[in-house]
Amino acid sequence: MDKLSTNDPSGTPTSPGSATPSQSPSSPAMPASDNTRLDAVLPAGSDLPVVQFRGVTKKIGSKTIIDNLTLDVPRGRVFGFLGPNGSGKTTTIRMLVGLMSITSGDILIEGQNIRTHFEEAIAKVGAIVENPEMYKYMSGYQNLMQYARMSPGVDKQRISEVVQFVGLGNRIYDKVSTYSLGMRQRLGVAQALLHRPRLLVLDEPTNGLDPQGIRELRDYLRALSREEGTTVFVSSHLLSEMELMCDTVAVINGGRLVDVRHLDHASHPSAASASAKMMVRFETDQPELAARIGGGGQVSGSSWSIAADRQEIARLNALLVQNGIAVYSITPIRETLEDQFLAMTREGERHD
Amino acid sequence: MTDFMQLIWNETLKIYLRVSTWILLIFLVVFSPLMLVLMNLGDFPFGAQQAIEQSFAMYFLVILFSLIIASDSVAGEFATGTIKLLLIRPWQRWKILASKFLSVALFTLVLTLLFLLVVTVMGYILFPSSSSSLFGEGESNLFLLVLYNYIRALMLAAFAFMLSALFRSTALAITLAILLYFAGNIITPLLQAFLQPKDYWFVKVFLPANLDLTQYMKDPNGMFGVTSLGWSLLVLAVYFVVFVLIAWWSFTKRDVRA
Repeated sequence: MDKLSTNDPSGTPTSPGSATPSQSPSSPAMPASDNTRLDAVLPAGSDLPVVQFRGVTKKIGSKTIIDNLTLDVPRGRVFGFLGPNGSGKTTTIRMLVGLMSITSGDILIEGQNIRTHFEEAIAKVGAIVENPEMYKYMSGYQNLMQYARMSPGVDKQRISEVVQFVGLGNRIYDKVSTYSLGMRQRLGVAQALLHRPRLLVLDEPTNGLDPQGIRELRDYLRALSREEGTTVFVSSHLLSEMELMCDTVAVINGGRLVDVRHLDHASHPSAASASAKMMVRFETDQPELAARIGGGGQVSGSSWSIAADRQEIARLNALLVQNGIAVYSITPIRETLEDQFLAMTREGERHD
Repeated sequence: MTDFMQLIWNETLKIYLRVSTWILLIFLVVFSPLMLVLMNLGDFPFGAQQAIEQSFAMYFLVILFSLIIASDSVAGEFATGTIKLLLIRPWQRWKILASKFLSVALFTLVLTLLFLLVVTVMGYILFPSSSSSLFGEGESNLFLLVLYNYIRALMLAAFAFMLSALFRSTALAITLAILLYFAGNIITPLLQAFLQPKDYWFVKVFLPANLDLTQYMKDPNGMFGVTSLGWSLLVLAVYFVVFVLIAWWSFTKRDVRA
């Protein structure tokens, strides 16, 4: 289960396009550089996982909803919690924030047990569980004041800081009943950040948001984890969404942890480090001829696909052009998280 | 302790920032003096003090409005889903529950004082021929009348509050609480009329028969002649503890799935 220790926790996100061969892709042999980087921004002992699930089991009646979940959420990441509907994501999150009891096992937040030290543990957490439901008859500001009064050290200045961060502006003084869903989501993020939590927990945060709202949310989360070192724990059943948002994804199915995957955002183009073969699709005017000249591969429609490394791609391209074949585009076909996810969840079902 | 006051302030704001609460308050101010007006039209030969005491027949408005707010206190948060944001603060659930109940108790007190203010002012306006001053001989009577009525309202509010935490449904809590209130008001006189004296043990522990402490202002042995003020207070205390325990268990031990 503990596959995370072998992952490269790259602290600085790199945009996929800027990757060069000099940037080595994720490799297990980099824990030292990782530690030095983290030590620079965090106090000693901060290699402690922000959240530790230890053999967490939830039974409702005779039904086992979560089965012996053991998982560490490392610091400063956007950590995705992925699974199909009914897989136990929401139950896990509700146990994490103390809304549901834990049948057996423990959940530690910053080393504090949510069961035995609830107030200490939850003080480090900000959360939205499913929809950001607010008191509609109050203004956004009055809502934030409600939560400000419940946490120590949240003053008016902090409130205006978070209001500015989520960009609600003067609408914060309007009643929540006049807000759009996107604005309610922003207010939800604001209440979750009010007390400067080390851990931000979001359950299905993109539900019901339009594409712009989803994009905004994604930007907030990235900014938070990058600028404030906040660890974000986010659940979703939307694979594409998780791919864009998360550094690491834990996959859950049928109440069991199926896999933990590190998504190296820098690695996709450079995963073709010189020798690695990958599937590439050539879009041409004569795909059959291309296949004959190129020596194999598959043809479908106007495109021809073949496994090749970087050098071969260039050579194949030259070869096609020399033979009078027009090449319109060359696209690497990478296995998406979706493919991996479907494969994993199918496996999970077979085990049951 | 100041922090806990903040919780009570939060809950109080949740009550008073709603338009519906202010409709209830306006309703109370308008209809509380109804009894006084009718007595005035009927030319009753009352002094102000007597008229005010008679107008406590309208106190049921305070009880009804308390029940409405108490029923919504916990269940309303479940209905809107705000309970999820409320319970993930660094406060143990029992403290949040306590702040909710105290805010309901305070609201009931505010309604009671508002009621007293309105009927006192209207009583003196409509029945100026006061033979006895408010601060005269009858002062303790009026004080006890208010106190006993407040205790009754508080007990019923505690019952509604418990139902609210137990069923997590405002409608169910309001319905059952009002049902208990009116059924109690109907059944108690029936028991008085038809119950055999050998069965009077029943009324000793029957909540509605003990709810109205003003019965001891007329007879120290109560309307059945088998209870006393101390006994009724004891019975009320036991019921109160049971209500609180059920609410506490329901609120602190059960999973939140709203």
